[in-house]
Amino acid sequence: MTFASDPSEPGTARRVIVLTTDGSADSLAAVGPTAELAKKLNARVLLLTVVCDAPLPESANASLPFSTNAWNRDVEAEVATARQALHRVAEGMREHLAAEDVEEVVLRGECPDAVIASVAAVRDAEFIAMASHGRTGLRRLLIGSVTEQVIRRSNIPVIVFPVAA
Amino acid sequence: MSTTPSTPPRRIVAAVDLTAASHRVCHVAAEYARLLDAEIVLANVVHELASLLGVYTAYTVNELQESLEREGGEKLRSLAREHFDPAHVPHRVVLLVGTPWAELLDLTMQEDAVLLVMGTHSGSKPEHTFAGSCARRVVDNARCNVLLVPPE
Repeated sequence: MTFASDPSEPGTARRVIVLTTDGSADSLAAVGPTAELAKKLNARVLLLTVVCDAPLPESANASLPFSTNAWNRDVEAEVATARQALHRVAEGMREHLAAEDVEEVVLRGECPDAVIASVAAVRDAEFIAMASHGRTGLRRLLIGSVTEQVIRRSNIPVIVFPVAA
Repeated sequence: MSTTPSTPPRRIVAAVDLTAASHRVCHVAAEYARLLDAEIVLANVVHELASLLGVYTAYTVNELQESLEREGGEKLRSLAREHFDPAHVPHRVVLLVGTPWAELLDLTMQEDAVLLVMGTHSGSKPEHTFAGSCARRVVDNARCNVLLVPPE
C-alpha cells in the first residue's frame, strides 16, 4: 500500500476499500471501523458479498447411501437475500459516507476467497477489510476459513477486525 | 489557569521479523501513523534460545542469545531510521524475548494499540504461509485490529 500523495487532498484519485461481509452478525464487526478508515482516507467503499455456489460433486450422490437432492440450494434465492442484507449495510454506511462513495456488489462463485481477492485486484483496492469471523467461523477459537483464505491469496494488505466475544 | 488533560497518543504496533518483508510493514505502518495521528511502536521478538533444547552451537546459549538481541536491536533501530521521520512519525523500538505471537499480543494490550501491522509471511516458502504462522496465531487471538501485509 503506497499513498503517493495525501489521500485527503482534493483532486487526488479516490482510493477504494473492499469490505467483505457474508451478512452474518459477526461479519458486520468490520463495518463501523471501515467507515471510519474510509473517512480518514477519503476512500470509496466497495461492499462485497460472495455467495458460494460450489456444486456438490456428482460422485457424492453415487457414494452416499442416500440422496443429496435435499442439499441442493436455491442459490438465486441466496443471492437475493444477500442483496437485501448488503443493501441494509450500505444504507448504514451512507449515514457516515457520501451515498455515491458506497457501492454494493453481490457475486456468486465456487471459491469466495478467490472472488474477493480478484475483485480487490481488479479495482486496485488499498486493502481488503473483513471481520475475523463470518458465518462459518468458529467464534473465539479460530479465524474464519474465508478470512484465512483471503489473507493467503491476497497481494494487497488485509485488515482484520476482531469479533467481540 | 485551567489545564485540559492531554489525550494519550494513539499507538500502532508494527511487528517485524527483520527479513526483507519488514520494509513494507514499516512503510505501511508509517502511512497509517500519519493518517491516524498515531505513534509507532516498532517491535521484534527474539526467540528465547534456552527453550530450544538440543540446538548445536559453537557458542554458549547465553552468548548466542546476547548476540541475537544485540543484532536485533541494531536492525530495529536501522529500520526505524530508514522509515520513520521523527518529525512526522513519533516512534520507539521494542525488542522482546519469548514466543513471538504471545509477546506481540501482550504488547498490543500493554500499549492499548489501535492497530497491529505485521507481515503475513516473509517469503514464498510453503512453511512460511499464513496457516500455522505467527500471524495466524495473532489474528486468532487479537483484541485489536490487525493489518496483514503480504510481501511484495
